[in-house]
Amino acid sequence: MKITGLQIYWIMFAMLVGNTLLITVTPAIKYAKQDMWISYLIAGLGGILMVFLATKTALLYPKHTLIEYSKFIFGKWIGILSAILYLVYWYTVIGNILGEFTEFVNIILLPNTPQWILLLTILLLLVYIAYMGGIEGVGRCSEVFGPIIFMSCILLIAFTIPNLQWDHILPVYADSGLYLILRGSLYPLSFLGESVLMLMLLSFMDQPDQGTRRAVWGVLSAAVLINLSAVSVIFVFGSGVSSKLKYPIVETIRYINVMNFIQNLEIVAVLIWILSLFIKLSLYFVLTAYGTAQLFHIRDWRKLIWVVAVISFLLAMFFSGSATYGMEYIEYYWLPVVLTLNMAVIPLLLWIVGSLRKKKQASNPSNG
Amino acid sequence: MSKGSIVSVILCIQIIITTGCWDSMELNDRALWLATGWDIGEKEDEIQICGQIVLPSNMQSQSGGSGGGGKGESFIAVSAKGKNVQEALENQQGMLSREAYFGHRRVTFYGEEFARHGLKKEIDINSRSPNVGIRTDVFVVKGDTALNAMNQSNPFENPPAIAALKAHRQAGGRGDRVYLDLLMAANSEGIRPTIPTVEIGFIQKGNKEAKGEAKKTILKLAGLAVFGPDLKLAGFLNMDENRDYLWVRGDLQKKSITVSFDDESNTSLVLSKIKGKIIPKMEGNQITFTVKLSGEGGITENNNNLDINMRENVRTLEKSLEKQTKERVLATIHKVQKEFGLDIFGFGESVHKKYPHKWKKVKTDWDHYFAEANISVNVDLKIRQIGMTGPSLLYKESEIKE
Repeated sequence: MKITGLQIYWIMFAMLVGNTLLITVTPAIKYAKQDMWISYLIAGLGGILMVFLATKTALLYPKHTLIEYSKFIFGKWIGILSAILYLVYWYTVIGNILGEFTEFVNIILLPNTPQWILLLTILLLLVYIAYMGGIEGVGRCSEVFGPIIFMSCILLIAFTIPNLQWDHILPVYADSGLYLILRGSLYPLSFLGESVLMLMLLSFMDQPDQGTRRAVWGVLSAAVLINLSAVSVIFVFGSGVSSKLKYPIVETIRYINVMNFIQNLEIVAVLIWILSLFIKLSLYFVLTAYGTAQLFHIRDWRKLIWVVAVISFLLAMFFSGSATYGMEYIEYYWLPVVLTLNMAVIPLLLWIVGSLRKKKQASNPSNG
Repeated sequence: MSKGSIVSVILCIQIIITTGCWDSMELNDRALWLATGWDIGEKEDEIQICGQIVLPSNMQSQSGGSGGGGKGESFIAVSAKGKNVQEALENQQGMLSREAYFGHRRVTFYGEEFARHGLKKEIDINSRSPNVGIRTDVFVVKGDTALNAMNQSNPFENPPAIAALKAHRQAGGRGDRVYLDLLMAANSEGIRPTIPTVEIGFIQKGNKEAKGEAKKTILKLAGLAVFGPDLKLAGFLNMDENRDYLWVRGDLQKKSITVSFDDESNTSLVLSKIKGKIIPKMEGNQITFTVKLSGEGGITENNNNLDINMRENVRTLEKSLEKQTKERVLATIHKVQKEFGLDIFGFGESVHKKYPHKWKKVKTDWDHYFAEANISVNVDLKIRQIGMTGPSLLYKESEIKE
């Protein structure tokens, strides 16, 4: 299973765009008001920093995955503990995203369809791609979907231009202030920070030394596109209205009306989002199954796909059981635990300790 | 079985469960809902909802033009009462053999009484429902109920709800941006919401002895409804004042200005490029505003003896147009300041954008500041075309002033 540098670029791009746009815009506007573009700018920089750190860490052991080298670096028990921390994050995030998926499709497209049917269809698709394609399948899919997502986003932004009222962005900085802008940037930052998956992904690359450059470019282009789309919400609706909308991006796209002829484009938005979501989910899916297999020293990681499928199905049923679980997950687990530990602290520790170990090894190779 | 066949069996099963049968909705199970009308009901805390629904069978026969048979209207207006919209719809659904579908709703009407009671606690469903978009045209029915307004048929448009929307666009108004404007104004301290109004009037104005066809009534644009705190209707502006209002806000698309040039003759200018801007100025605690209005257009009617091929004469005309426009717009602004004391123009919003820190001190009591504010108007009009004649053809050579 090998993926190329270009595939890394498209994986990073495709997996970040959809959910960040759908979910982070409302809370970002709630805190930062019309200055949310600054929040997204900060989040973009932070995301790039995170993916840079993650790839640099992974490059210490380019032949091994996170689950393996965390043991090399931290020693056996702490290594296993940090691997478990990541697995918890992956299992729950799959469940949460699936729950969001069913909720969204239920609201926008198919109000009467039972949730388990929606879950089952996407899960079967995920099992299929994970089983048949593995990480290579995900890479190739994203090479196809990535450009589609990119072009549709550009097209939709272009269609929105006649609706933009530029003065909605004023006054700059006066209504929010530094604290609120930073608070607002946490949401997009934590979603862009999912690029921390490079810790695992790098070991699958045929040329790992390309990883840093490609991944950083992927996150950068995603961040730019996300910022452009997100700020267009402010230009169309102003901060007051958009901070109360559940899916402001969808509403902005629904508002498009070019010459009374091109309208009701929200279905395109749904398409983009589902494509992006599929890349993200399948990536988590494969890496979770693979990581679990490595943790328990199971040789055939494909068998674990079924385990992941069942667990994520149950979690997703739990998450879609209430309208508020999704946001609570973000407030009480995602931001305080995942964003700090999994996306920042652990990679940083891995990198520092790992580099020290490498240096020590280099200075007295006999201790190897 | 091999791996491949297992996978194909799984895929086949998937086809069966992904047909989307749960949400299948045939077109002939849907009642296409084009417009909603809101009125207050007879009882306290009850509202009356009416809907204009397309009758597809009648629509076809009329467009075919074959006469006979489909002489009926192509729409039906149904109404029901309830505590809120959902309850009213529930009561209403009993008469409909098809499920009401709101995806095509383009226009909303509020009866005057309903608007006076306040919209704030009533119209949440307009944006909560996933089927309807924010792009909607909204009208207050001046002096009547929404139900009566929606019963009016229209000779051009079938079904007639679209007529109000089209007329609104023709008049150079905001069109289907009105509802978003309303929402944004409701969310802002620096601007008060407004909604355009319609009224029911006779087709032939002034013909008192009209009979038959000529006696018909029609829904027509009437001006603007001004809303105060809690989205309660505070009063009305007429059509001309409405245009001035839109011009100040920079939303006006079309306008013609007719002024009397001297005591006996008049001149009309039709504007095409229209811009309006509010520029606030703050010195100490004193806020003054300059409204900058500009427009370009062509002379369509010039009933006096000026030869407007001449540069000075054009300038004279422009001056006179500018002067009278300025007086009229100022009069409108003063009327709003005096009568309502509600900042519908967004003067406060302009302060918020330019002086955000000082805005925080005045925003809680902004309506009061607005009513006292010192506002001046600058008008800049340019005549670009003069039409097919220079001087009017009706004047002799000796009468024409060059």
